Amino acid sequence: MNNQEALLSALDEVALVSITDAQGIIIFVNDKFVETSHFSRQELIGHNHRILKSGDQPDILFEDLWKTISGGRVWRGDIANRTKDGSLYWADTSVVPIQGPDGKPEQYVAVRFLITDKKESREQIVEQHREFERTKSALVNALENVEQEKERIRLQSIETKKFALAVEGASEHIVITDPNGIIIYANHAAELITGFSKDEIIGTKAGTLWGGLMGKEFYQRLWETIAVRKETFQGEIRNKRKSGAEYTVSTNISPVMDEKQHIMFFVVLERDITREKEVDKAKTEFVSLASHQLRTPLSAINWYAEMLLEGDAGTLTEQQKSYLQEIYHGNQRMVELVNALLDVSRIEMGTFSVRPELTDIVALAQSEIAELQPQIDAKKLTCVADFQQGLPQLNVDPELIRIIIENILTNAVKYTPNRGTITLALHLDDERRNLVLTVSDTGYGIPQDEQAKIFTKLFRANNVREMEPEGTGLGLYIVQSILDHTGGSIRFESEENKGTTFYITCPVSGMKEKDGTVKLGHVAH
Amino acid sequence: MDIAASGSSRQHAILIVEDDDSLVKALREKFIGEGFQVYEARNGKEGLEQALSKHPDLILLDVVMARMDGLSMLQVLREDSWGKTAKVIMLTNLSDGDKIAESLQRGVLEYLVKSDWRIEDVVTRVRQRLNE
Repeated sequence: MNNQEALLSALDEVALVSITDAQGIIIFVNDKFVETSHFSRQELIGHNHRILKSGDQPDILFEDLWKTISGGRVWRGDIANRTKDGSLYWADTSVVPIQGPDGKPEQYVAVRFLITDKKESREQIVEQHREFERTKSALVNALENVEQEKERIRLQSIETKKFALAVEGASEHIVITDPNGIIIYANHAAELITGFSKDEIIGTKAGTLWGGLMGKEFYQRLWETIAVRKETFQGEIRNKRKSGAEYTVSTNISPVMDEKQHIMFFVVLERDITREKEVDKAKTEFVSLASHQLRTPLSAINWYAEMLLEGDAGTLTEQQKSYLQEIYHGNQRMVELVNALLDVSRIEMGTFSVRPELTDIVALAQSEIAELQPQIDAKKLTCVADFQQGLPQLNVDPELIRIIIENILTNAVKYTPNRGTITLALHLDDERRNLVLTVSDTGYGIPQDEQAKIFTKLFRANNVREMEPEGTGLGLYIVQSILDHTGGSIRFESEENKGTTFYITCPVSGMKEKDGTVKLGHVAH
Repeated sequence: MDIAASGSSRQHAILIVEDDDSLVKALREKFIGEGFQVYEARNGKEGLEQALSKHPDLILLDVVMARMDGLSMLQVLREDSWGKTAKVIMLTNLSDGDKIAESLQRGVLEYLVKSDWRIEDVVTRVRQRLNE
């Protein structure tokens, strides 16, 4: 074999060779070409190269190809062709124009090396690369989300820590129990106040370590409130520290429930008020002692004046009698003032008791009228009683009601000139929710510009001050305070020189029982 | 202190336990004038001694006193076989609910606030209680 033949032979082994004329008609194809394209020689020779076009590549590629080779230059590129049965093959293609005698290409020789595999794997690589980029992107997003979530959790945990620190550091005893009352958490203050350590406290049933002083019913009532009625319990409890010392707390126990209203746990807040109670007790004792000290000399003056006026130390002249009466009178007013001040201090300290019992208020009103009968007769006043039929007895503290009626009625008598009229009425309001006591008179009235002040302590309106009526000026203050503390109300209408009407209401539901160290019990008017 | 009264048949004897001189004098003179025999004591300790030795028909007992107050004296008095049923009227200027309740628990007949009571009404009450 000569060199030319060797060359052709080698080319046949490795490349697809085709030769077209200047118009692109195939005039020669080698065996490999036939093998690869699956066309027969007859189907190829004499046909335009276009029959192998894949349709996948843009026209501009072929325009460029033709421009290049028709200009006499070699073109090289990757071309995709289709076999007879439609499958695609890629070839690294070089097209060489062969010049004719006129200098223009008269033939084109195309030498192609198959790169389908390479092409595929290159495309695979590109695709894989794209896939990789997408995955990377998704991962980066995911990471960002994780970071955000971490930050959120971090912030939340700071918030929670804040609460935990707040609870732990609070000055109130705070304890959390499970639904059965077993303690699962106790804060530092609980340790300080009860004297027991957290280790000793946690796991015990609330109250077993420091409670037990209040009586069985108290604890039953407590449990019923929080566990059965599922309401907050508020009250004062006496406890005992680890040392044995007793102390008083103001307690607030709340059930915490889930959406189905099942109790998840109880939160117990206790404020040590032992000191406050001691201070209150000291104040009460001081007031008590002070009034006691004031009353002793007042009693002495009273009694000696009385004995003198009785003639125990001899007969008095009229003048002596009259002066003595002035002394006696003045002293009486001081006694009343001390009594009223004592009541006022009890009201201010909230230490007066309210002991409701079924009370016939009509009977109370009637007895008050009877008590004032001497003054009513002396001033020739007409007293009209107007009591609604069938009024119910109310669950109220009779002494407090008595004080109210006595004060208002006495004022009416005092501030009405001779031959005037006083009316006392008792009836239920329209909604039958309140009992209304109406006391009206045809007396001096309260001047418009003083009406705002009549409930203040020791107040006397200008128009009656000159009359120098007796009394303390504390009556209305005491009446209003009693009503404020027991759910009632007071208001009035008044016109100077025409008269005054007071409206006092007391709820039909009655007064709530209130513990206190003392009863209000003195007449003040 | 022991003061004899002006003579009359079957007098009632009362014991006044009170630390204020002025008030003791007023009560003493009033009751003697009304025909009573009057014993006096200035504090609970003396009062106890007087009560247990003289067995008065009725005791007027103050509450606030030095060296054993009225309620403490009452408590000890009630432990005595005679003292258990002795007639006692608290005559005081305390209007403390607690003290009132405590004394009523120990069986006093009355709890009178001095400044609210006319002295002759005190005498009347004493007479009423003695005749019961």
